[in-house]
Amino acid sequence: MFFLKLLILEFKQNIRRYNDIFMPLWFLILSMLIFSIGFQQDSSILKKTAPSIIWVSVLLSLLLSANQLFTQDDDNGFLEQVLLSPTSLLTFVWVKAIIYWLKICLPLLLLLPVIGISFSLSYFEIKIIAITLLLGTPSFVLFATLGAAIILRAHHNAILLSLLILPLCIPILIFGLSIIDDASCGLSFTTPLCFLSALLLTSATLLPFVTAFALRTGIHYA
Amino acid sequence: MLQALGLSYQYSEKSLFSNLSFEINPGDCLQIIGGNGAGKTTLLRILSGLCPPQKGKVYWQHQDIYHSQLHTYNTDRLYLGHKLGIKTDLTLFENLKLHQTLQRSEHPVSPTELTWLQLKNIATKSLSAGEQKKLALLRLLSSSALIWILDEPFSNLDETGTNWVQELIKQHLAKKGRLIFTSHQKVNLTSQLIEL
Repeated sequence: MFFLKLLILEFKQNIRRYNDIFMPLWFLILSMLIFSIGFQQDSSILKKTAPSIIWVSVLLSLLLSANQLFTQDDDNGFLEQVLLSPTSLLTFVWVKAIIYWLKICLPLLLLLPVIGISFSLSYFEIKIIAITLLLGTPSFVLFATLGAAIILRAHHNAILLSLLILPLCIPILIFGLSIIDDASCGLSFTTPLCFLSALLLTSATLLPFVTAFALRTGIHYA
Repeated sequence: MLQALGLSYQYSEKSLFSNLSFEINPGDCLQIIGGNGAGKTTLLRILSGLCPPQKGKVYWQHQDIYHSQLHTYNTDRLYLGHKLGIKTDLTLFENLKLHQTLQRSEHPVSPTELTWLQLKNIATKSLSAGEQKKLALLRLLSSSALIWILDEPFSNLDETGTNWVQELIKQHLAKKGRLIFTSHQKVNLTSQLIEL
């Protein structure tokens, strides 16, 4: 009940900052446009590389504003109030991660059919990309949350966050793209799908605890 | 009982305080005074559980607040620092609800106590510093905390606001609550003093 109330209030706050929702979407559309122009000469290459382009663009759009995840709450003192309240920091981390996924990833996923059609992808390919993104983006968000907690009071934190998080996202990217590759060749994609699911379960189990620990340590020793 | 034993804190080369010990019993009020940069806020942050002391211990009901499960202390203590913890994209009423949810408070602020909040549905960002302070201090009304730790609770408040907060504090102390606060203003409260 407390979790739900916090989630609703956090959602209300985020929905009023609609610039934060449109910027990653705009970035994604621009990236797609640039790639389309770049591969204008050979549309077969564009169709072949479309899943990789979509996955990398989604990852980059997601990291675009990830450094701001806890900044506002730290600046206005809300984070300190959470730390000192009976509500666990872990609950707060989950609320932030869920809202961030809803704010950034859900609009990107809803836009996927349009992007897929513009890349001349088949319905089956779009469906597979959507499934892999549904499994991959929550892990990206959890890694981004951890990165945002670690670099909270660091200078030039946007660059630092990318340097810290991008290497950790590589396994997710590899398994996500393997599923699409195998599926488009008509092969069984159970193994990479299991690995991607396992990565999601592992990150969902461990990362919020580490994020909460990083936030607590950051405040205690600031 | 809140007990501080041998607290020391040094920032860069400057020692803010050393070997500071005191205890606060039910009904006690402690005012910390000192010039700018004397370490008043640091001391309050240490007592609230936000910043571990470099030396010394803080005990709440005989348990070290930095080495035991802080859950009891988190329920029993209310801290209000310089940063008010107000989300400016939310309305006044939503901010209150948010903090009541965080504190798991079962005593919602009654509408009669919100008479000055006639514009409770406006975004908090349009409020003045004094109004934001009042909004933050409204948490005292819905709180069942035994100890209040307040950093400059009277700053930015007009005379009516100051009297309102003093009245709240008196009611809290009469109910055997405890208070630790810092203030540069002269206040009409009987309190022990610690000068840093």
